[in-house]
Amino acid sequence: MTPSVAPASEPVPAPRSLWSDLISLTKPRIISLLLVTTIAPMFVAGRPSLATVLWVALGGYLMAGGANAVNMYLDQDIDDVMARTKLRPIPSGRMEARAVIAFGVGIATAATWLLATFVNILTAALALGGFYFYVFIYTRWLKRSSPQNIVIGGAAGAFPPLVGWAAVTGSLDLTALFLFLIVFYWTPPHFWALALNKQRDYGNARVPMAPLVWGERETIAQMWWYTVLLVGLTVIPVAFGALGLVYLVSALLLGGLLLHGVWRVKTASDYVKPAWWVYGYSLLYLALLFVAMVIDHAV
Amino acid sequence: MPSLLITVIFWAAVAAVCLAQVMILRSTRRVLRAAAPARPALEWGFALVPALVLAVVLLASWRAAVRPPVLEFSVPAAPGELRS
Repeated sequence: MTPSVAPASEPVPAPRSLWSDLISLTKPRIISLLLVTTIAPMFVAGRPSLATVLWVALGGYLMAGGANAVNMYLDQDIDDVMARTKLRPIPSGRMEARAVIAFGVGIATAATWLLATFVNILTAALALGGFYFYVFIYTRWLKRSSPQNIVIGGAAGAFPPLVGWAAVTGSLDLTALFLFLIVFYWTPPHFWALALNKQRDYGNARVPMAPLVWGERETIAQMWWYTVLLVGLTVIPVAFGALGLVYLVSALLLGGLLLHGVWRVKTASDYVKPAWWVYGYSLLYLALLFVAMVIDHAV
Repeated sequence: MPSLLITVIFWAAVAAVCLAQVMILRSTRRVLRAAAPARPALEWGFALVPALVLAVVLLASWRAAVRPPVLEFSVPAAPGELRS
């Protein structure tokens, strides 16, 4: 790996309240997608009560928010050298690191109790498993040691569908496993689209993202094949009757657009714009794919 | 949906998934040769574990989707074998 040493640009910090800092520690924009991939499977698995949906949404938010806060505690050194993360509460000096980890562990503990008490033990165990995987396997171990950090680390973001499924059925089955794999295989092309355009940031922080270690060409080639694998995987549940025609058409259309975007990254002379497009669209893709599952079950 | 369509969808998807997984492993072999990581076995593990999980899941989905039905026969018991 040959990280560049160009300094991160100096963003101007704006004054913020403690409340807004606490909310920002949870990374609410990321959690909104996690909640879609948690709650949509509940309606594919069965007919959850409103109370169950609300408890899972609250517990899921707190657990993911806790993991994100602990991540900011563990990554405070690299957040300080990356322009993208320099304004977070710890590197900007607005919050003490110890307060951040106490907050993260506190809300994750509350989430575990809440899910175990008001939903079921399996749901709480899976949510806690996702927390530990994100904190220890991804953030603590893989993120700084392997260019495949987000390949294996992607499993952390794939726990939410299992959580939602278990909340309704009290168990896991083949369909739940497919939902897990869809998010797992969605992660590499999504994050490598960002990493391609943020190589300087990752280089400054000495995070061995694939484009820095493998090179852009090989990373883009793997983005393409991960996307092909993902789109193939999304239609298989139709074959064993878990999902129907509405979902099939949606998966093919949404997947076709994602393939087109990644192909543009692969073939364009300058990948910057197509990669930003793939990064943004892939977020929408995952959300709409899970919404399509719900609609398919409703019609 | 017609069973022929379901069979076509299944095998087309499985073919795409398998081809993509093979190409990912080939690419991983190239980058591991070029980059010479400190722990090549571990890096290989990171590439192979998802591939193995995928193989198991595809097998399970084949069993659920297009496996030929197992014929089950129930032979009525002879009157002498009935016990009250």
